Amino acid sequence: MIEVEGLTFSYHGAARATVQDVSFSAPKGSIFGVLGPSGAGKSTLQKVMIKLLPLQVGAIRYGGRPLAALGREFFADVGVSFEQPNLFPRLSGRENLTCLLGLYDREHDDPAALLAALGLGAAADQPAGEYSKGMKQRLVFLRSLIHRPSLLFLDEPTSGLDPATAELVKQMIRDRAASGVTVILTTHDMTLADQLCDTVAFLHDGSIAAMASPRALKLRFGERAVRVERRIDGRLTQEVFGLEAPEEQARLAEALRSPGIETLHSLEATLEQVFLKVTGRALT
Amino acid sequence: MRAAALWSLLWLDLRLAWRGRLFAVTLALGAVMAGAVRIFAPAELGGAHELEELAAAWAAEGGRLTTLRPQAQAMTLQARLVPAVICLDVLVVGFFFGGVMLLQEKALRTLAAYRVSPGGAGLYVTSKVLVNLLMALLYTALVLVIVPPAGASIGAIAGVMGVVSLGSATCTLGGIALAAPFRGLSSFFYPAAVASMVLSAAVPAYVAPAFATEGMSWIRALPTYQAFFALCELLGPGGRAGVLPGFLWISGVGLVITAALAWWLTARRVMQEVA
Repeated sequence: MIEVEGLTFSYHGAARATVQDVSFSAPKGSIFGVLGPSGAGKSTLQKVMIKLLPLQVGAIRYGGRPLAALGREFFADVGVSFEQPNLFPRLSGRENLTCLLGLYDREHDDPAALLAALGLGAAADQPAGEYSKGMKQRLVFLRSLIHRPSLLFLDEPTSGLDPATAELVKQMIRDRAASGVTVILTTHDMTLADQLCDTVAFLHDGSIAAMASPRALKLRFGERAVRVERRIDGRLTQEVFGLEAPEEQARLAEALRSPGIETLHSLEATLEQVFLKVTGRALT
Repeated sequence: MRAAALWSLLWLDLRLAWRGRLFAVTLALGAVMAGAVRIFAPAELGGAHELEELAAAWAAEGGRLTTLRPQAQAMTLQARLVPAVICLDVLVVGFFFGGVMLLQEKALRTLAAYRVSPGGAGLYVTSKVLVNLLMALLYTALVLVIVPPAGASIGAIAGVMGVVSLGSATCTLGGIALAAPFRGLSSFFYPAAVASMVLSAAVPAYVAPAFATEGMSWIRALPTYQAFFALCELLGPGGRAGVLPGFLWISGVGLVITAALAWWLTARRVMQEVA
């Protein structure tokens, strides 16, 4: 479990704090998503949590112990997947995966099995410099897992991946969480967050604007609606009716009584819409 | 555990240096330099015969000949150039390689991956020093095979390896410390070139020792200057017993200073920069 309490971080010379009074906790085995557009403070928050930036104000506890009191044992327990692939281009995929393993005094996964699981088995002995962007992304993700960390920081893990591979990555993340690994997912991909996260925090201008499970957020902030497709005078028309206001409900009832209905779709709010409603700002 | 971690990191750095052709460049440079010395530098003592005749004539006329360092042995030009060839790579190129290895990893952002591992700045720097040390020892061995030192004992050869080890470690650490504040190879090149020129100022002082006097005596404080004469003393005794302790003293102090600087800058600057 990792707990963050009242975390505030300012870069030297900056007029305002990049991260302001952020508090949350991610229990063991949960997937916690930090969502927000570029510049919201996601990366800064993650960097403070993995000790790449110093803790200025607030407290972070991992396993009940203050982060500041943890040394190498913290890094031995952590896996980090960076958004920008950072590999040794002259080393093979297999070598990149295993080259830092000797620094960890713990059991690790079978490199060949991991590579095969994400479709890199055939390219395992090929120099990583010859990999495509997606292959590099997969390898960086696998490198964060191989030493069996208990706390996993993932920054846009499915960025640049085809849908099939992205699904494999998502399943691996779910499996790790199910085995007790705490996952901190940083992304602006609301679909990914919706599919994976137990809890999401919307980060807006450095502060948490809303935090709950994706379903709870959608129920609380989303607007339920129905889209009706009708053929009127030979032309196909579409109308959306909200389910909240009585007058909208009456209009929907009237539409349903009319002839020519071709399709009916229930429209659930997306996390993206919820984010826009909560922060007044789009994600991209 | 730390020994196992160091070995693991060393194995990684050895592969990176091998595939980055640093070993090939080092050994090719050694072969070319030593080969040139072997082919073009005379292996005989020029003028020794005339000197002996002159001394005999002087004695015949009742002149008194005083030998300042009776234990000194005359060295051929070839033997005298060997320390210079060794120092060129070990100190000057080693200095460059230390910085280049660090900056390449900065550019590739692989340092960020290392930064979030249980390794640390000390282990990182030590591994780089050991890789450069291995290259320096291989280079020296190659030079000594191509231009074998006449009459040098096993102890002297071991002494040469010791001097090379100390000099290589100091210069690699110096290169890492100098490269630490820079973001890329292009910005590091000019400061490194200036530093290499300063280190190379020992070359004229070695060829003509009077160069290091009259306002240029600072050259004697350079680790390269001390290394030149220490190697020369080991490969052909010149009767200058103070040279080796002088080298050990200056290089020892240099090693401590550069090690502290390299570690501090790597821990406080390089490892923080990845954020």
